[in-house]
Amino acid sequence: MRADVYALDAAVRLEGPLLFLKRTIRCGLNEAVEIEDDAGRIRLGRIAALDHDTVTVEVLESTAGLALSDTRVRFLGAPLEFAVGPDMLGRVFDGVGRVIDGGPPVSAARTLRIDGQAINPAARDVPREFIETGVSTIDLMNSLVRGQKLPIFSGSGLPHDQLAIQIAQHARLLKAEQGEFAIVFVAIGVPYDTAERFRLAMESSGALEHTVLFLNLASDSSTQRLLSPRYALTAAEYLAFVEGKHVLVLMTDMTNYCEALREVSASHGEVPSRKGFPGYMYSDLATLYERAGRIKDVSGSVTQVPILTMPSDDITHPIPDLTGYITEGQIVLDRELDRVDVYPPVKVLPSLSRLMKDSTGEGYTHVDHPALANQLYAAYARAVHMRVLASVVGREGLSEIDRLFLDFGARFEQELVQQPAARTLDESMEVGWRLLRMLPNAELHRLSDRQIADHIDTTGDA
Amino acid sequence: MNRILTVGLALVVCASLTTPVMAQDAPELEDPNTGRGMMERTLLVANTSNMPVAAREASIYTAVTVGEYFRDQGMRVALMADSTSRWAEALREVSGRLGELPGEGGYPAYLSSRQADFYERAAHVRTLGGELASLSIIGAVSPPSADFSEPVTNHTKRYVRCFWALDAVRAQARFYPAIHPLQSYSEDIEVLSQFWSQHGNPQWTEQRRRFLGLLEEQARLERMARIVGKDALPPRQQQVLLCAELINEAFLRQSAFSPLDRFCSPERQIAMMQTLVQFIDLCEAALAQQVDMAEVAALPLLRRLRRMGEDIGDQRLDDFDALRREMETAFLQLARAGAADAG
Repeated sequence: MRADVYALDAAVRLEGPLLFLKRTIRCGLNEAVEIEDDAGRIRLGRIAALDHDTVTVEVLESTAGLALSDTRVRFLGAPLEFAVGPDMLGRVFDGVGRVIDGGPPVSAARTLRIDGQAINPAARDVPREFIETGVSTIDLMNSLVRGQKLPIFSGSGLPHDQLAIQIAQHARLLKAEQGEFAIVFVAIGVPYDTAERFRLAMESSGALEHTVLFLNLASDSSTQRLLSPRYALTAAEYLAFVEGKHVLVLMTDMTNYCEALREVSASHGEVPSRKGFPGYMYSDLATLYERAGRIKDVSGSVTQVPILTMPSDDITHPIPDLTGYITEGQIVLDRELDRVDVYPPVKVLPSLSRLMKDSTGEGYTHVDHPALANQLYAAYARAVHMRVLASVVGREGLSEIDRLFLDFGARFEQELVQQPAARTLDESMEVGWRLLRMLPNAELHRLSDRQIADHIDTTGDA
Repeated sequence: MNRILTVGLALVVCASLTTPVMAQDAPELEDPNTGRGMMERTLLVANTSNMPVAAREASIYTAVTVGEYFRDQGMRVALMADSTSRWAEALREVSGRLGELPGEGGYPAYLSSRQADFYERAAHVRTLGGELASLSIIGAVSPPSADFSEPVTNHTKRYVRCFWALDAVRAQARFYPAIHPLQSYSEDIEVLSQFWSQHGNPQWTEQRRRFLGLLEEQARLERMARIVGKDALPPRQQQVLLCAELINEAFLRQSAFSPLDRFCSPERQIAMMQTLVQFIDLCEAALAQQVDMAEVAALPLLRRLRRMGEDIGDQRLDDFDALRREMETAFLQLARAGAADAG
């Protein structure tokens, strides 16, 4: 039996999501509390700050209707924990890990701290296995690797959710010893329809049975929003490192998370840093993103694809900027491509996957994959440069070869970036070689003679 | 103007403030000088970004202290701190928590003196045992949105003698290493010129100046070509563009994927540099004989020049001589054909 430690009538002030108590009980930072009001309704909370006289509690639900008198605060003496088990697959949870699909509670195999624990860098394994997503601009140009964290930088109104759904449905490993895939989807402050669309898409493709959904909707409290990715990642870590699955975590939308962080920080009265965001946002985001990875001698992995909408498409905004610091690359979506109906509208040049070099090429994908990606990048960069020139001097002012590159750029966007359906890596590579055939061999400096003989000169047509 | 070069280092101390994967890369690297694992002479100080922030601030001092310890044993130590921006970010965070008055960009006012304290620990010394030893510091700065005017970059430039600016445009075209030759600088050119003389290239300073001059002119011409169009440029300027492009593609670009090209010995660098200088000479001579630059640009030889880094390894330096002879023949034929046409 556990002692019931509570404080009655200790509340002195209530302000937004924060409840201030007289410090009458010994407690530690970040411990969980339960707040029981006079009607017996229980709300979850967390100790956010301590000083000599007061305890500041972050209430993880709406504080409307809470009074100072008759409010009982129960101290659990432990950080927030999440009861996880293999039955989580196929279930829907709210932002603080409570079942909301009407089904029975999940039988707990373990109880884990939602903050997780930093993985010892020496125990980490290098992510190497290529994940095929079916998207050419990702597979061919910016490969996703098991254990990687690769964010999608998007803007409001761009089809990032659609892209995320597509990745979730098609993601597979190239090698035969595939292992089991699981998907953890966490909606952070998104509107109901986005969450519902994702659930329906997973249901209709039959993928729901290996998916765990966490829904923190736009109407939920912002303190809760800070915890929903942590609950989701705890579930992902359990599935990966205990159950041995390969877990793909999709988090949408990290911008809402950062806005919530700013809101809560402001209500604590902290000194704001860039654009009003708290100075510790970098460290805070890192505690989420760094939970991706692989561990030596453990079969599972956690791969993260966080999605964020850049406020007014500004990639220098603190949210994409700090995210880019921590993650291993980024996929950038482009409004101009979206306007001309190119789907997925991936802006290839600023997109990057830092782990690509370790997971492509001989022994991983195709031996000529890195060279092809390199050559396509070089040629497309030149095409974009020519486009700038052509906008001033006109097409006629360019040399014949430059005009060829201009055409290459247009076809690259229409045939490789644009894709009506998912492609396998081999199909994507074939499109890449086909596009390069329209350029003279002398311009393909990034390919060796053998590669040109094998792939460019095979059909002979330009 | 140097291809990146590591010379006779006894040990590499790394303060890795980055994501864990970057830290994982190091143990697998192979030492190009000995062929053994890089990790055998490397020490990693790792603080990933989800570890406590105060430890992140301290990690850079831990690393430099270890570096000094090995230096005092007579070794030549290179310390790579990746990245000092994240270290400064930690400094800012701690300072914010302490409630200190923020200075420029929210960083504490003492940021620049802390940076100076760190960089000034780099030194070339004679140890008590009488040996010559050194500690070199390479700091990676990753300014938000590649803005080189922000405080960390600015203060760093005040205390260092050599600056390699990575360029977003080059990086996006997967041009590796993406060091921008015009924005980067080194204040040690004179010292290095002696180094190159000893390795058999006494003309290094002039060659470097010539390359940089061409690249500078290329940048200017590219701006002009935006207005008048490339075809409208006179032959002399087309020749500059061709040569500058070749310097970029054949000399400055290195393929990290190619086992031959991921490392470049001083001898190979010299051979490549001299091959290019000869090409530029021949090109200028051809220009004087009124050979059409489009014909030069169409030479099949150019593809081999552009790929010489990837195709010709350190073991086959003679191939550069062969390449140079072929170059001479090719230009001779061009000149003859031109003369025949004129005749």
